[in-house]
Amino acid sequence: MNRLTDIKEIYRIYSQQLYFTALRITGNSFDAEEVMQDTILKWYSFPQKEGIEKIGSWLKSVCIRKSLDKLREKHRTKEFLQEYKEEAALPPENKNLQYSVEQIRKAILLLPDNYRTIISLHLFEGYDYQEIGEITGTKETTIRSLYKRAKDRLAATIQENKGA
Amino acid sequence: MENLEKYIQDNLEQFNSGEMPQGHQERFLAKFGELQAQEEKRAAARPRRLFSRRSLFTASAAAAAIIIALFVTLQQESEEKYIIGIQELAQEMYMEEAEILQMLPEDEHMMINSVKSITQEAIPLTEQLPDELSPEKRAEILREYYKAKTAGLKRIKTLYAQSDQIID
Repeated sequence: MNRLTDIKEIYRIYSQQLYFTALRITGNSFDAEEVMQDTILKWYSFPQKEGIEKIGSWLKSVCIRKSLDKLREKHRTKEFLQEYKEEAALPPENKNLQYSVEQIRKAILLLPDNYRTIISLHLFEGYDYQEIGEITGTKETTIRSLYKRAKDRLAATIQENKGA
Repeated sequence: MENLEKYIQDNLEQFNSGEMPQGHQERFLAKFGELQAQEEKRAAARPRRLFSRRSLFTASAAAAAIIIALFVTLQQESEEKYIIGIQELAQEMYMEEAEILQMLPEDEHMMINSVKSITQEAIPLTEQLPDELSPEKRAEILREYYKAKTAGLKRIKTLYAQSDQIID
């Protein structure tokens, strides 16, 4: 396989998943595409790429770090996860709330950056609180409470959008 | 809320598929073309590689050996939960080093030595840390150690890339 077909194949297999991972964290399509493409180019330029055993995991890890860097650039601070800590109480959860993939996807994009990041890393990428703390440089206890608020906010946003 | 979490878990594949922005593949190929052109330009400006793929591989293997030794030591001494993330940080540091060494031409002796001195350790830090430190504290020190080194390497890489562009 030559270099072009090699990278095209990697792009074909992983671009979509990486794009949606980046989209959930960065919150916008332009940044998500850039992160996804830069991630694949990083793999291409990585001198020891033949030694990478699980390309998918490696790419996902780089993609998440690059997405978080994008958010940090936007906030110009490492502490963006600490923001919005003092939010007004949310309405009680509607236990009968119905939803679709598309409704959840839209609601996630409407969440504040810190909530979206926690929801993405925990619910979609499968990281536990401690791992998220390591990745983001935030205390595990903060992550735990942020996650609770984030999922309440997600449910409230789905509810609001349905009513709109 | 458990329902919502479960719904997401059950439909994870659908969340990772869907339409991507129009023209994404063409934009990617354009970026890839730019990257290849840059590589060729660098290769032309660098008649002889100081760091062959073989030597980079050797450096990387040595780095991997250090990392493995480090984690074997740590795992023997501490609970696994404290070492989460350190391996990634160490790998990231060596990745940055390898990237910079590939960028540098052979006559940049000072830069090469500066870069290598950041990652090379006469005595590994794990062996220098006092035994009375708790596993948690040891892990914290190692984390900060790798983070600081990686940040330094990233800074060097950015500065070098910028100076390269100015010269171009």
